[in-house]
Amino acid sequence: MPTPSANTQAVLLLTSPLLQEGGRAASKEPVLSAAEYAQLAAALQQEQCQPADLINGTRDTLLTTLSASFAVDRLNRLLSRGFQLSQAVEHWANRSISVIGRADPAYPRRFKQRLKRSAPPLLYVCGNLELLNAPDLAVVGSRSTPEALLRQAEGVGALAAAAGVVIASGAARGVDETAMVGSLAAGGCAIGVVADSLETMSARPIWRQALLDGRLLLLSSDAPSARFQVWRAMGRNKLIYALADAALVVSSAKGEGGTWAGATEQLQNLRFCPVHVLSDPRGGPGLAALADLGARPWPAPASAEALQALLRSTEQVPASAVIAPEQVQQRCLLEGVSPETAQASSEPSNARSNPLINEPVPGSPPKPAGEQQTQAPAAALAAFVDELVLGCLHEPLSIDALAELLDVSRTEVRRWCQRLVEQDRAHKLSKPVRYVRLQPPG
Amino acid sequence: MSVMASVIFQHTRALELLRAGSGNADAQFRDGQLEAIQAVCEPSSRVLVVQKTGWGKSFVYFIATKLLREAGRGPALLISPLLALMRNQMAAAERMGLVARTVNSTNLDQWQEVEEQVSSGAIDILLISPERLNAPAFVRGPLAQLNPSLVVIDEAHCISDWGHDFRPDYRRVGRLVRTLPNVSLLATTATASNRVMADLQRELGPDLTVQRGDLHRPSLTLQSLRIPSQPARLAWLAQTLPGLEGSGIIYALTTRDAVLVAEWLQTCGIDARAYTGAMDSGDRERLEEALIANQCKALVATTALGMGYDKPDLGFVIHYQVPGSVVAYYQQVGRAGRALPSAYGVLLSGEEELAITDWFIRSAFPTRDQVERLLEALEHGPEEGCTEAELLAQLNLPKGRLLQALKILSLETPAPIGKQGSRWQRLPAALQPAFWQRVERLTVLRDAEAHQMQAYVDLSFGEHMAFLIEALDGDPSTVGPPTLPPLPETVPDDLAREAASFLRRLRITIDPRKQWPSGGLPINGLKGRIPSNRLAEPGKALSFWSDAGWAELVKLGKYQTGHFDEALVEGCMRLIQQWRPAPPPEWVTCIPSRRHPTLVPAFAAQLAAALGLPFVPALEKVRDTAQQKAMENSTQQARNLDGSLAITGPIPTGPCLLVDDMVDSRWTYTVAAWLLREHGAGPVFPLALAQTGQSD
Repeated sequence: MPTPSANTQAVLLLTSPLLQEGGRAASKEPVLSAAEYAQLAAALQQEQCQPADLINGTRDTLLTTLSASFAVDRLNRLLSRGFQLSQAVEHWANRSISVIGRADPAYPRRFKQRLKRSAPPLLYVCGNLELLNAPDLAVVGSRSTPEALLRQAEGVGALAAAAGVVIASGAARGVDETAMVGSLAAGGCAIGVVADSLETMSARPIWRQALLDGRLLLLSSDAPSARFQVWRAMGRNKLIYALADAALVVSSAKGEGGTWAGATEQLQNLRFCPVHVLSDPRGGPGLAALADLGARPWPAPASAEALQALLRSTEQVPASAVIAPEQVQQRCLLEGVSPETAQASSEPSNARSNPLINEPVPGSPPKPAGEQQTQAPAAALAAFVDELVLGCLHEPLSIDALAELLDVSRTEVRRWCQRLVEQDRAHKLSKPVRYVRLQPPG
Repeated sequence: MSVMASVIFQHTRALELLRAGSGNADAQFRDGQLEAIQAVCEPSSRVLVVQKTGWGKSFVYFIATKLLREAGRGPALLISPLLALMRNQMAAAERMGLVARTVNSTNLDQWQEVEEQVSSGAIDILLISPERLNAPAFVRGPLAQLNPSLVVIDEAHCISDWGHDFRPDYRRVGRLVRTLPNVSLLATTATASNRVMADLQRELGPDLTVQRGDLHRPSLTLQSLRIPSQPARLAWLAQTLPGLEGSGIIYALTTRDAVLVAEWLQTCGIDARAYTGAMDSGDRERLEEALIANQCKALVATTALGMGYDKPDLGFVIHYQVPGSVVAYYQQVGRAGRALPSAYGVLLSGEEELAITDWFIRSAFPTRDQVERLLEALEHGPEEGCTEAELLAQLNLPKGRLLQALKILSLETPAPIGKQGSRWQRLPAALQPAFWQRVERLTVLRDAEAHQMQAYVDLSFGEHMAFLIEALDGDPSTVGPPTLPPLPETVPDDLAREAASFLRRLRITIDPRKQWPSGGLPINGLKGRIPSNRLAEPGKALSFWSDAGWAELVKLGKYQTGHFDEALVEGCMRLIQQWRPAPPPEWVTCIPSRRHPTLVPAFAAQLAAALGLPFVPALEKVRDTAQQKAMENSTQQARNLDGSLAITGPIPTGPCLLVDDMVDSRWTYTVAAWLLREHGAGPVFPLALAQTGQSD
């Protein structure tokens, strides 16, 4: 297994918890958040430097230059984790897991095109990276889905196998797993964007043979030993759609849950690919609601050719504000920097702003046509935030924990939580103070 | 912490530290030391220092560490295989004002304190073994946050496949240091042939600064003697040791031999003490210190007394058997006479050494069959994986073999298996063909190395040092004649006879059981005392199951080849000749087995033929039983046999030899002897190839 590139090593040192589990042990020196890292990447570019320059001879000089706008002691301590990094890289390689950075050739082009600045700086992968180049159908749904619909998901998987289409999903139990296994069992391929620990997931017997055969890729934007967290699951949906030529929602709750949040985000905002829904009430009230928001009914292609045709037809549907790969590459050639930093520089105004307040929502402007347009921006943001926060509050969390999770200030989090309590959507617990969501009646 | 690039290397400060550390106010750097320190102090440097033991490698890394710390850099991590080294060198480090700590199995009580010191940044240098480094506690625990600015790998030749000492954990160390951003690396070793150097250069990176010293040890007088028989070699030792100056080390290949040689020398009035890996670390530490203080004449040691053992005035190193390679021999013999004008390094060669070395070579890796069965078991095991106990229950592998296979496979990258908590899982990676290629390559290499050592044995006095240096790709041109005269090669006959009788007494006796278990054996209708005319006679076992040598051949036959080696027949012949059971057996029979129906009978028939006696398969198994070793206590073991054996038909009436491969509870022999006597046989003499016991 190849050693990570120098740029990737530097990004690992700055942003990865490496082998430290959870927030507790690592909290002594918190790694850079995505926003903090973006800010640093922009600053590096301004200095005509790459992340790799932080781990070679220019390190000390570069840090001195950066000290004007960054807490250099913190950077220094993160960068001093060289031995931890080597332990982690070795441990992952031993587990057949490798790390790729945005500047590495293996990094999925679609992530860069569609996610732009919010493309994860690092991907942890296990399996066959070639699968990223194949046509891709995302299949998503909730964990608790009726058996009959699971069989349909399985059938879609098998059809994809016959059509040479890769199934992308979350590898979670329920629809995800069923659709992926449906494809793998029929000799096809799948990509699992994992929210759970990649290390645990890749050792599961149901994935093992396909991984050995090169028919499966498991990937995660989080360090392999990281445990499941709701907010990750939400970020993960974005990655699943970002890989896909088309998506199928097999089941969904309405107004809550990862499936709903991920699909609405696509329909209203990101529009990476056409979203289809099964027209089956057993799939939950979310399906019809998603159809109302513009999801297309699943045409239930009966043959491999029909499925291929469906994916081909969707290729014409442009997503919003896509930078073509050629453009990206051209920029790199012209500026002599990695796509890494070129990406970061594509929105300079955001990059220079305070990331703690202004974590940019990728591709948000311009707003799509439709009823959403009537909503004032502030209200739209509030609605989005409410859902996001509620999604995190399946279990009681303190303000500190939430702030860390969402990477925003505690003042902000406290205001949001109070708003949810006022709306009777969350409950405040005392000693210690924590917030937990209230289940909607019925 | 300042981010300004600070000048780390300071010549005057380095000299000050050398003088503080050595306790000598006039100390000067040896050739190359200062250059090595300067190289290590460069940011992200990679340095390989090849210098013989005693040159002062530890001063290089201690002084470099201190300079790094004084410039505000992170601490150092020293990866070293031996406790002996750690204890000896901690004191020198402390004299320089370094906070040096270690975590190992002997200081569990201090781990928490060390963890706290790591977390508060108080530690300057942490010493750790490669095995400990690879343990989950270090990979993920609080110690992982040491964040060293310098990593030192001692005995770095172990990283190379061509280094003599195959330590699976060093494989991971080699891979670890390939990616090591913002950290300096210092690798040190005393021995690196060109091949080892090439490997290290590949593993440690192209920009490696190499410093290589002279290998010649002018104070050492080397000699080799071929003395095939054990009693003669024991006699030579007993005769020679009292005349040697100072104290020293006698190396033996196996634990059993180390214990045996020490016992023999003690009966001869020489204060020699056994030192083996089977002893607990407290005892080992006491023994090391006794030798350092010259409180005993010699330690009789296995390679457990190894790298880095630091006694400058060691008067002699004698090998009771020839070790497996020139690198191993040079390392071991090189401990003698480091700070003495002269010292002896004598190599004795015995008839048994090739069989032992061969066994070490063949058993260094699991077999293809063992690996396949292990992978298969994990493949079909439960999702959460299998514990070692579950695997043992499922696979007929000795525990040691299983653990070795698990470890070696899990250290491959990508690994086909891995451990999650206490459970082993199959991972999504195939075992690479390169694994088996490597096993074959290493096996061939080890054979060649063993042959090279036999060539060394045949050298004439005065040729030895140049041979070693040439074999290690050094420059032999400075080698002069030995400073001491050769030791006499003669062996006094009376001492040799005494040694022979000492060895005979050591054979393992199988005492007959005299009482049936409480509750008796209902099927056979037996209980209470066993009448004297139904007892087995005292028997003999050829070996202990836990020993190397014979027992390894027994294991090989039982678990791998399916037949016992010819050499075991010879071993039993010799045993019987020394034993002289009376009245002499007139026929040979054996314990039957349904599990291995031909293994023991074939061997017993071979032995009978060699003894010129008839082989009569007088016993048969009429009922399947669980394995004796699976029975957890004596009563269960006896009951497990109840009614399982029967006589096949008419049997000879004379005294007989009753052969089995292993003896543990002795119940099988007891029941079989009773049956044979009951059906008219004469006295029954049990003979086993190995005695098991609590050891495995």
